[in-house]
Amino acid sequence: MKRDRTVHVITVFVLIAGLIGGTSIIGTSVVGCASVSRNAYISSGITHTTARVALTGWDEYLSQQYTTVTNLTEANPEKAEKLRAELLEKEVKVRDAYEKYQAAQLAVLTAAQAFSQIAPSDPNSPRAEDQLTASIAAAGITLSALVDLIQKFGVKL
Amino acid sequence: MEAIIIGILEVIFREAPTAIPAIRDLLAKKNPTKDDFDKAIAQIKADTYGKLVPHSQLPPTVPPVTPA
Repeated sequence: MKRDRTVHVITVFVLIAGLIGGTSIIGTSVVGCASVSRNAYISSGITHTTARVALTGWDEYLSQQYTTVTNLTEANPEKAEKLRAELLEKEVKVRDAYEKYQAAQLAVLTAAQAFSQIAPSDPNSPRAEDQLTASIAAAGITLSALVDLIQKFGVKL
Repeated sequence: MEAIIIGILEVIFREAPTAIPAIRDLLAKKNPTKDDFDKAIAQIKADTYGKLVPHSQLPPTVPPVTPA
């Protein structure tokens, strides 16, 4: 039940972050760069909370699985070692997915910070906005990939 | 819009109440400053895989050694 809620929470977070990020782009021409940057800042914070929740679920799963390995070691060391190797392989993939997400999230904040310093009338404003838009989209993709991977590897829904 | 979002989150996060104050703080920021962005960036950098997954059995990542 707790894992069901975890994934439901993650889904809501992703949707809300997407809503904030999307409205920030639509609202640029009306409210200016400061609001777009603010919404990107908020969206980034919510998205990162989502990633943390996802990794908490992953950590709980690993804790149980590695305990199983430990308990199995004396009775069947070969099977235990095989299971441990599989877990380590999964961990490498989740870690890599998380670090890609981290890099994408840092790109969002860097772009939002730069955009917040630009006046709406500045000729560089459209390009900076495009960069922010692209970075938000990329971060969303990396977060989805991370959550999908964790679910695929056994954090049950 | 912030009120709607908080309302949704309050319903969903009964099991994770610590997330609500953090979200409230985020939404309270009218104009994030350079310092706010710097802190957010620092927080994301500090949240390494090893820190967020304490039961990991991967060896810690060793940063590349800079030649003297």
